[in-house]
Amino acid sequence: MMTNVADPIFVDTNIIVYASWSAAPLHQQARQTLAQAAAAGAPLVISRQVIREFLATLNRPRSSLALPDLIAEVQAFDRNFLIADETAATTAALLALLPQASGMQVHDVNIVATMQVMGIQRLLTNNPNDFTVFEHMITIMPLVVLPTTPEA
Amino acid sequence: MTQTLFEQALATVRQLPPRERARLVAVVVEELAVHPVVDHAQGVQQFDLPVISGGAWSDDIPTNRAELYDDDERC
Repeated sequence: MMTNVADPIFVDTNIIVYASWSAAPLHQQARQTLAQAAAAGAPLVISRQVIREFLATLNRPRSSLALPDLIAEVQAFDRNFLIADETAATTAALLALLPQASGMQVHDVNIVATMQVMGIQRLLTNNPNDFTVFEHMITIMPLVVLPTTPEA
Repeated sequence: MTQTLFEQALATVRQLPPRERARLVAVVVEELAVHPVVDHAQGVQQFDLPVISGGAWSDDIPTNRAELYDDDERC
């Protein structure tokens, strides 16, 4: 599927988690990838589902993160991302996609449904295998692990 | 008062019976797939998402939806 570097990118929850928190694995890779995409003019898109999942992932005792910090982070999302609302069209797309989504989580299918309704082709995720059923419809962009600088 | 095109469309949709509304939703989904809503002018010029510091990563923090929803069952 042909895409352009400036085409919109749907950013999956795992990427947002990595990019938002300095203690997260792949933190630098996620931030660099998002910064490069933004610099190339690609609109970065998330959805209300991603916001809920971000909070559900990090608002737990084991992370030791303060809730006010998480709320402030989410409040900064609308300066950095376009935020897709879920509508009746999203549900209609979800119902249309489910019969072809054998082996997928319904929640993952809803991401593809949101992309379809928004007309977004590209998905940035660190879980590319969760979306392979739909790789004929979308372009899956796995997070690229940066090469480590050899120590002198 | 002059109605905008959006307001006229909304008023028309509200007159449709439920079956026709459902049909319209399906058509709109297909239409949006062909003609994207997101245009390039909407992109942010500079990515400046704040970084949360503190805390510690733990291996039981979910990194995919099967872990997040505690659900290995798939459709």
